Amino acid sequence: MNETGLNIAVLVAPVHDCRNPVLIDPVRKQVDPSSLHWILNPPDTIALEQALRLRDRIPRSGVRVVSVAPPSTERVLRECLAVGADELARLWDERIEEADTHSIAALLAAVIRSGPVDLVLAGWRSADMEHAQTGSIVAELLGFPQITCARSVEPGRDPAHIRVEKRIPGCLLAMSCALPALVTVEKGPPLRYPRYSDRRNAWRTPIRGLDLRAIGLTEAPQSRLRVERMTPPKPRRRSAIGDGANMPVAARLQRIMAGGAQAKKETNVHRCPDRSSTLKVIEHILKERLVVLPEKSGNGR
Amino acid sequence: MNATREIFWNINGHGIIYFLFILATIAFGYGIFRRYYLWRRGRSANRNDQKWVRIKLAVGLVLGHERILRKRQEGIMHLLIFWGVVTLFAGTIMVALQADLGLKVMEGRFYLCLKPTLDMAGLATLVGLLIAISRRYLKRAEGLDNQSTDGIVLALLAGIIVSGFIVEGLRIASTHDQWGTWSPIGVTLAGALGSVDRENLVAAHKILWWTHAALALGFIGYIPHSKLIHIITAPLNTYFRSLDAKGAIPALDLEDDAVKSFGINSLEDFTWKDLFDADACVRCGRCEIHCPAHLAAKPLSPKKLIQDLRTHMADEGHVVGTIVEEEAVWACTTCGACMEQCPVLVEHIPKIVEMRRGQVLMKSNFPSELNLIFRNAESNGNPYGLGQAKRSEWANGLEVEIVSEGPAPEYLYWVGCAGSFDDRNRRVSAAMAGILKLAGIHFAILGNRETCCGDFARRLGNEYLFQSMVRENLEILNGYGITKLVTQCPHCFNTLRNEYPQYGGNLEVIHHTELIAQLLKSGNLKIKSKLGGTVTYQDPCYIGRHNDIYEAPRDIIEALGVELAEMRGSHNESFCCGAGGGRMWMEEHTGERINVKRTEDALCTNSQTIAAACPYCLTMLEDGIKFKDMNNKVRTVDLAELVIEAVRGKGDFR
Repeated sequence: MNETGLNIAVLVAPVHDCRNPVLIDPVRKQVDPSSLHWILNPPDTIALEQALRLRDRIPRSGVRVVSVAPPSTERVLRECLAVGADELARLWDERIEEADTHSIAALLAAVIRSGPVDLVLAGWRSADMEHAQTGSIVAELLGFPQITCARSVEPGRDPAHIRVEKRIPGCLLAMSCALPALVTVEKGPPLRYPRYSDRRNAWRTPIRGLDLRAIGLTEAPQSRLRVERMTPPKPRRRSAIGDGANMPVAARLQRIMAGGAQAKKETNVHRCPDRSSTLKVIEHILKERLVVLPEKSGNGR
Repeated sequence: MNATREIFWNINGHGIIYFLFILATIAFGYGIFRRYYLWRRGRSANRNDQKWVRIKLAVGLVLGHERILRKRQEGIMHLLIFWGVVTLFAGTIMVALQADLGLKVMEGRFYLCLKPTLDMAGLATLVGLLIAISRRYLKRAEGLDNQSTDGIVLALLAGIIVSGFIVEGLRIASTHDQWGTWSPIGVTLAGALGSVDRENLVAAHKILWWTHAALALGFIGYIPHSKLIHIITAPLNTYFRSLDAKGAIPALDLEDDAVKSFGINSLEDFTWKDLFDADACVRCGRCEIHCPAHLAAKPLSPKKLIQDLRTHMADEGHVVGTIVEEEAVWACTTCGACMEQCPVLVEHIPKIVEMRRGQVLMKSNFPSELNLIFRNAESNGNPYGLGQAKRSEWANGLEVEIVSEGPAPEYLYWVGCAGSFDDRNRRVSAAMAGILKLAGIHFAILGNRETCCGDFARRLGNEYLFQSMVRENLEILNGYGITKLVTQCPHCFNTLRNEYPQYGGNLEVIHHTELIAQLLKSGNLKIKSKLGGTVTYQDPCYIGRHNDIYEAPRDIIEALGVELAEMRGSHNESFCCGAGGGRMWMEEHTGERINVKRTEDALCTNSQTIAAACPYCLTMLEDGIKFKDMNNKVRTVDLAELVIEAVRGKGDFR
């Protein structure tokens, strides 16, 4: 594997953009597909960027994006090719529509096994279900060591290792891990923006659409976890301090600390911070040196 | 007796003149050819259609000095030199006609008219030269940088004129020319030389005649090797001007598979006209002294940009990062002050945008903060990064109609991203909706189906993003059969009006200031109570300079009964707020903050209110006011907000 560089697989999931609500078609009582706005799962894009950077640094490496996603997401998945992934493998079968995390992970692992792989990267969690399990399960199924919530993935001291950094409370942890391995990525530089010429080529690159048969399965893995109910949270009352946007920062702060501000009547909430929170605000301001107190003359305090 | 004079009096071997003339012609021809060869390296561009329109426009600019005279002193300076030299050149041609072709033109009444005319032309040139010298070396006027070539040009011209006068004076003094009095300056000089004996006069005449001839021919030879080339290139450049709408950035064909390189990456990617521009530039610096980026100490100077292009025209390789500093490319606010000022119609903005296109489309190299902005716009159709579903939230409770399959409304109210997502500008949208209702206009909005018009994407060089937005918007607008739009955003206004036609859009777009001014004039909108107080008005670049709307906003202010205090730099000399050209979405790392500079201008007027007619101006000036800690004393508003106050009659405002 050393002579051929690093074979990197990146797990990428298209998710619904949570900035837009899902609309229900009242007639057909189904999700209105036009309201579904697919984007790449944001942590996955960070993992992809790490993979691309690794590939750029280690000669003869390749990045393969692996995804279990319906054909309607192909448009957004092509973004991975546009930014420079060498290959995109998308697996879908109608029978896996109700799959749980474990069965998705099993499918991903099967796709990954179908080619050479030294390193698997994934976002630490998906922005839709937020189980933060997929990466770990894939690692277990592949029998790879895993590191979760990494901040950076870099070439290791020798070609058989990688160096991974993650932050834990109070310090930065640098680890070396033998390959093959799986790393889930929490933070890092944002995904690069594609060149137009690359984007144009990506439109023309065929995407290998896999079905269950292609990975040697006859049936979808059994789902053992089922979502029973989804309840939207009650809309949170806005606790913003409504007006005063025109006031200077100092005056606004004074007003907040004096017990909150009277917002406009439509936004009827104004939480009054109690004395302790006021003191906390003051402490924070002084600590961060947001306001510099004038030097007092003499020794009076 | 017929009035005339002997042409080669006192000159032996004047045949040498022809030899010198051939030398000058070779120097001239060689210089022009060398530049021509470089211009030809550029890509093709059609700038030769509608010939008569071009000629008509060029005549006003070249012979009438329309742009040059905008600056009084230097305008008059150039006018005097220009017409002086043109007349003297014509006079020299007369001499040549008589001496070489044997035409008897230098005779009789015509000759007697010619003499004082040429004397006056020489005097005018001399006065012009004196103004130029004082501006350049005594006053050291801003925008000018003195190079040795500037001194040479001035010295050459002054030498030609002064030696010409003295030669004339010497000839009149030594021949006692009876027609001498027709040359007022010549005869004056002759009078002064009366006491010198004739022998010396004749000898001096001979020397100075040859000096004069050599200087004049040297001048011709020097033209293509110095800024004097503008004698040739500047008139042609006004002829080759762009006849497109001022605010439109040239289209780019992204669909063409044969095209492998987009935007400007290497020098060959410029059009021949871009390169020609560089040779028309005379370094007058008018662009520079009006450029907000330059004045705020950013690394961009439009003059330097064009001059660097000229210097490196023969080079190979990359443009951005070598010839033009990377940061300079991103510093431009596309406010158009440079192009508005340039007396020879150099096109700065298209070059900068083309360079940005090269960086974005081919290299994906741009200030890092734009990555997020581009992606926001791609996934949610607006640079603010808020959900598209929130777009029509501002209209909740205002009973604003959302366009539907029914009869098309009279106006589609194009709210724009700022008016839809920015808290402050949502209040302007609400005011706008109120005004349209009070005026009884049937209008509707696109609601959540509106997408960013693409102004910022295009000006940041992301043509792919821009065109995908245009396609989306045109599909929806055409689907509802909409042709008339009103918008409060000058950027949307300009893009929809001037750039959508490049992609098949056929929209009649009106800016809200125009519509409100019309409604006030026609009486459809009545003012209940005049407002009083003073207000200063910031001309937004994209309705002002790019679309020449200066009066409608001022008509509104007048109708409101408010006193208008103009800022330093208004109308076409307005100073950008700093947010145009996609700068709204970028960090300002170097130099001063442009919006603070403009806010200072506004505060200098001592107005209680700063009125804007653009969401970006409003944001930038309001930030400036906060920065200056003046937001308790001065308020920033959009004109629509003032109008709704006056129309609803909520009483006096200060």
